[in-house]
Amino acid sequence: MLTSITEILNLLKKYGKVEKIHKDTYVVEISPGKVRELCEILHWKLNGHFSVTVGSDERPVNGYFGVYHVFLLDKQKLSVIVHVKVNPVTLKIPSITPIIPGANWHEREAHDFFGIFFEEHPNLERLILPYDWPEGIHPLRKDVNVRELRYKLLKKETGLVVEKKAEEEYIVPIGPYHPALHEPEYFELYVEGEKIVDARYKGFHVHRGIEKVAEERLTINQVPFIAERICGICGYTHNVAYCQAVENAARIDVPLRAKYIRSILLEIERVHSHLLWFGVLFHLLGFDTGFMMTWLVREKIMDLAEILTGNRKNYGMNLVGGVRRDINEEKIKLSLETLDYVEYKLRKILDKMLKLKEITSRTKEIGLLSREEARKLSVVGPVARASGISTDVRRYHPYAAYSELEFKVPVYDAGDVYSRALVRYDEIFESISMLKQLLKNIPKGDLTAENVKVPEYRKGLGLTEAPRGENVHLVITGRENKVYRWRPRAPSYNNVPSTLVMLKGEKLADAPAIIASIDPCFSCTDHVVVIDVRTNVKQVLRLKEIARGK
Amino acid sequence: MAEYAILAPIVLFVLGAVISSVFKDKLGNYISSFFSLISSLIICYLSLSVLFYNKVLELQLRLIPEITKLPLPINLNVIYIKIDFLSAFFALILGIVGFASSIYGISYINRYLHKQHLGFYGLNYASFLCLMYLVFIIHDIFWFIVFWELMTVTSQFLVSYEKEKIVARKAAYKYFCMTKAGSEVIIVSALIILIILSGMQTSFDTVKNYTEKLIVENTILANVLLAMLFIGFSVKASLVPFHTWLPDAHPEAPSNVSALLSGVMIKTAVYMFFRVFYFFFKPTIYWGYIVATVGTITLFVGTMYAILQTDSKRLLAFHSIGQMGYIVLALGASMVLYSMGGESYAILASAAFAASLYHALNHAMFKSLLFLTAGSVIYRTGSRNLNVLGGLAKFMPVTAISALIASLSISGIPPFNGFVSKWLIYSSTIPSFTPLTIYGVVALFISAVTAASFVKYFTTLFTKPSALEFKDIKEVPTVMLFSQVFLAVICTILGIYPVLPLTIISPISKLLFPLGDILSYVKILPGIALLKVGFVSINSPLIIAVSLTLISSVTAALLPHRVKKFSVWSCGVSFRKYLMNMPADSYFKPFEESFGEIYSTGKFLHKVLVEDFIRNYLFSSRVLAKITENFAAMLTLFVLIIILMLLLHLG
Amino acid sequence: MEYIAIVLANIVAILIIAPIIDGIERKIKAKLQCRKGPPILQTWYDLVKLFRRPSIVTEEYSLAYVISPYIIFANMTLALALVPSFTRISLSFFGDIIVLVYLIASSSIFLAIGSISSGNVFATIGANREISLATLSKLLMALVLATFATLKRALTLGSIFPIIPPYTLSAIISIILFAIIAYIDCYKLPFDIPEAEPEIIDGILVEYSGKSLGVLKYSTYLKRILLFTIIVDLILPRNIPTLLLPISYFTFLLALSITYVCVETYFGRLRIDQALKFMKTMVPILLVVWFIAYLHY
Repeated sequence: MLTSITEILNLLKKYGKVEKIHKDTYVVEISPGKVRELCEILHWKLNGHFSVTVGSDERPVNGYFGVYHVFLLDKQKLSVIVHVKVNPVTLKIPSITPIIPGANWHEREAHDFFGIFFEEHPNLERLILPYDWPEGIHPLRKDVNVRELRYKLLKKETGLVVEKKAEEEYIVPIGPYHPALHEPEYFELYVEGEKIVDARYKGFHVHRGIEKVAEERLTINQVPFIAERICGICGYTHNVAYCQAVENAARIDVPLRAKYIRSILLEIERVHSHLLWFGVLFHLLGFDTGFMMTWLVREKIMDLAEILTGNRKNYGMNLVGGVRRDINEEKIKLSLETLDYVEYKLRKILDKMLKLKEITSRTKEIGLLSREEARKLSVVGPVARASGISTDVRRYHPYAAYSELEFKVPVYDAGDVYSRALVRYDEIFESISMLKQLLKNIPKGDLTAENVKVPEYRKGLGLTEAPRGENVHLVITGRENKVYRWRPRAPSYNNVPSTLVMLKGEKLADAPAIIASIDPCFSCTDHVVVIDVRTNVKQVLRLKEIARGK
Repeated sequence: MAEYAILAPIVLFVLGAVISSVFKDKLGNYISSFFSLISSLIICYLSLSVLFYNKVLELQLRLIPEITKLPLPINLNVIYIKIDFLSAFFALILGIVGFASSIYGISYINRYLHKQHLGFYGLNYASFLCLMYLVFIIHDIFWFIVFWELMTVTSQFLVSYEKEKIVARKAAYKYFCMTKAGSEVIIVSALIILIILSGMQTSFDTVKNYTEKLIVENTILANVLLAMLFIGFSVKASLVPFHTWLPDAHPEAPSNVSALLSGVMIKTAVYMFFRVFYFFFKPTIYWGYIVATVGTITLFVGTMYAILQTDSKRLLAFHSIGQMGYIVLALGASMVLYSMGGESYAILASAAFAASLYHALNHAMFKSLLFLTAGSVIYRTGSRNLNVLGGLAKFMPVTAISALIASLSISGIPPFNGFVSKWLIYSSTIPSFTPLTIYGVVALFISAVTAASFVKYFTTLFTKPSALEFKDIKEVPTVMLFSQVFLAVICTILGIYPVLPLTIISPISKLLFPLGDILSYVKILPGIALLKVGFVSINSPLIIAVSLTLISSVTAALLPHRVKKFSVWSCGVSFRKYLMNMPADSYFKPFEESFGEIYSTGKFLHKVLVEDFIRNYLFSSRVLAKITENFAAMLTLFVLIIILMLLLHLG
Repeated sequence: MEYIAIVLANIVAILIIAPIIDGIERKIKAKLQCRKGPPILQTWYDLVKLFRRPSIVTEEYSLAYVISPYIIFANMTLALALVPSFTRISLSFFGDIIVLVYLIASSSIFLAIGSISSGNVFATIGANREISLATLSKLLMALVLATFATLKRALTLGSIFPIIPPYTLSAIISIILFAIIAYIDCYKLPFDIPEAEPEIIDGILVEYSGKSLGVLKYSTYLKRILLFTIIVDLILPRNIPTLLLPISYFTFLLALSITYVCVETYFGRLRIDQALKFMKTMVPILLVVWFIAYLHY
């Protein structure tokens, strides 16, 4: 077992050129042949975890396509980015999905957007692009021609693959429009009686092309606002992650007070997000009283956000280099009072509700995800913590003001829906205690860094612990105060595939609760399409259908 | 000479059988069906006249008129034929079902054209009907056994009519073996009666005099005889644990024959139960409880297994077992209540007795109708698989409505006939203040299970989208429709106007219940009410039917139904008809799982009782066969010599 | 004629108050959940709105889908005519408690057939759950009936209502058990399984719209009132003066419905197998109660 940083760096140096891009973050540039070996070491042997794969069109810069596999080594508090240069003619590199199944979507996305072929990928089908998207057009390449795209799109349409009737099972669609889902996603459940035999997922119905917009149209300081709109619940964490990535890339030192304010808002966001989740869970289990009660308390938190930022959501507080608005003493006092009230109320309500027999009997031993499966799929956040994996960006890769706080990382081993609820339950109170610490100890000082200048073509990695898990933004800065490549990876992107594992063998009635248990945030995840669990049956969603809302 | 009309159906049946056997194609079927339907009508007429005019028809037939006495211990020359009320009642069932299924067969059997010998069907069909008729009317132990055995033989030919199918052949073999084993017990008990008791007198009436005394004088022998007869006839009645042949055999026969098998043939055993328990012997409380218990177990097991089935006819066959349970339960309950004595129990006893007969009649009607509708589906689609069928109501509306009526009837949904007879069962058992209450509770519960499984049967066949694509499916030919509608109408009439069947049952119970028959205990119009000091229970099918139709049609008229069509909602993805469609297999899975212990016990018992038993039985029979091969030949020779001697003697 | 007029008036009164009772329940539920809640007449407004709208049928529909709401409604109305409610006068000489049970059961059967006939897979799942629950609840109902019949030696409504003059142990327990079974049959919350909204999108009702939906919802309210009425009739002493009867009936009805809705607020939904298991555990209890009644206690 390698523990010290130098040992790991020595190991990395064996594989290729190691470059430190900022604190605790290293880029290893290696040849395609060695990718798998290194990734296996990083994910399995060093007990790190695979976080995201980023494709990038770097032909204007160095003549190659780039693929970045990001690994987070929690124990060593390191982030390692494995950079592979892809030959722009052959466009082939080995896939790491056979070693790390969790990389499946990431590689397919890179395939969709850049046309990079991952050799030996088990199922290199389209993930995000619709099936009638013309071949050979990869939207995130720098030279893509939109007009040509539109022309081709209307012309071509691939047919549906013929269906086969399964013998004893039938399909129960959950989504795109289903009361259990609050965003358009499609789970296709293969059911026998009431038992789910198999499940498939189609997502990315609401891909908004945010990355393309940010890269083409916006300046570096405009992106935080669009980043905040990636998600309807936990937008601020994306905002912070982006800002941190740019700050890291540009080596900007953010004032401590700004860091504190960021942390305060992040924790407020976490509390309201978890409360929202509890409400949804209770609603899905038919326990509407619990739903109403928790949301009543959540209103207080929303009010708190409004007091501190002026908005219930989309705080609009961040800039690269700091925050935009300050918090005064009066607000701090009010916040502390509210927090006391909320804590008292929540203890009372949630303690009772989590002990109710209907709730426990419908969440315990339901939607099991073992530790091995969780590692394989590289799940993050509360889902991972409920499956016995201790991972938390705040603890292991501290950012903002977290290095100065005392807090616990709740970990449960059962891996069921109930333990996911317990993780979130603990986190709510941890967050409240953190908030109290932050509000009490907030230092005086500036709000933004001076001299915010962003150099060209520098890489930066921004990590935050969103309510749903780790949130990773990789930014490559560009010329003229623009972003060259920005890849936000929301936590649900890693978590959603695990629902398919959880759903198998469960009862149909539990499906909504299981899907909800990962707290899926589809609009974060979304860009679009298919996981094929069985190869013989294929159903494909066409762009036209999406447009028609069918 | 009116008595000789009894023989008219027999003559016609025989004529039909003989003539049709000559022709290989359609004509064979037509002739047999025609003769059968005529004689079925005559049977109906005969039995109705007996029941309505309270006149028993009797006939002593001499095979060879000149001879009065053969030099044999048994007087084989004389056949006692008698249509008493009980015989008439069951003959009526035969008449109605025979009529419907003969008409149905005219068209239906043509689907076997060029594949099977239709004359062979004609021969067996007519003779099967004839033999059932004879079984019902014969009043002679010896000839009863002869006809009983022949009935089994002809029906097993019909079961294995599609002789290329191994399943059919196996089913017929199993059926034959099991019923044969049952009839061995009957033969032995008949021999005991003949040799020990009646001094070789074979007429039922004579035997009755001896057996009635026996129950007082020699209880052990009486109980042994009762046990043997009960077991023997249980096999034919497919009571648990002797039921295993039925779900295999009944579905394999052509559908109109299945209707006869389920509707009438298994009723021959019920008929004999009535003869044995009420006619030969007087009911005792112990036997009442035994019969009622067996009935309850049968109805429970039969229906709980029926709900699992995904083959349309097999599902119906399992329900035949279940419904036989109801009939036998009511019989047992009536025996218990009869032996309790006292007027309050006499009411309930006669109600239970009436319920038993009423349910036998009802079961014949709705079960044959169900088999006919299943047959119609087979006729058009060629499939019995509920997993893939569906949506046929659009193509076959009349069949669908008939099936719905039959399904509602068998489930005991109010205005239809099953409800009245089941209601009689509940209202005679549940308030009886005996352990029978729990039997009634089980019956009530199982009635709900029946309803559940018929929701499955009806919706998977007719209304749920199918898993296959059906094109060019039409309604079945008019003759087939006619018999379906005919039976459906009878189901409805028997349901909303229970006076009719109760009037028919009344003469039977009048003989048996000294304190008065069912009609004297009930107030009939506008509802049937079992009278005691106050009321025991009341039910008015007519009012229910009228008000249900009235209220629903008034509501529908007040709120006119303007409709727009739209595709099925499937959460926003395009509706995939063949995939988003629950197959019959998946129906009621949670319910079945919650009764998992019953099914696992059943599996265990089946393994222990049936499979192991059969394995041992087959082994021993193989050994025995080696020994008896020569013995059988010797026996045949022996019999031939006797007959020759007789002839010589006569000459 | 006068007789029929009274019965009709009675039915009409129940038809009017059934949605109002539901409105009250909604209000109370809202209050318990810290919400404001709709006005008490909201259920009526909803119904009227639904009755005015045309129905949308599916492309796969068959006749059973269209007519079954009306049949269910008829079943419920007829059942209500059989039980004494505001007055002692009812059509109870046309049927007994078994007829009543069958009318309730037949409404579930028709609901299942109708919703499966819509061709929607969610409706089929809902119908399956509905039938599974209804079947087992019939077993429970039959066992309670057995206790009633054993206590009173009859099945007619006239002799069963009220059950309590003999203040025996079994009579009191059986009423409580009947109340629980009625609770299950009302599909109140832990047993709200056939219509589970977040799981199977209102299950059996998913393809019903406009008038059909209105009629079905109306029938659901009537079914609740019917079950409440039976409980009230079981309790309400016979010697209440006729004039006081409507008031006492309505008070009892309201009290029952409020109790039920209060209980409902504190439950989440059970899974179908859990609900069936719960109902199965009730069977031995009911058997014991029947046996106690059989022993004259």
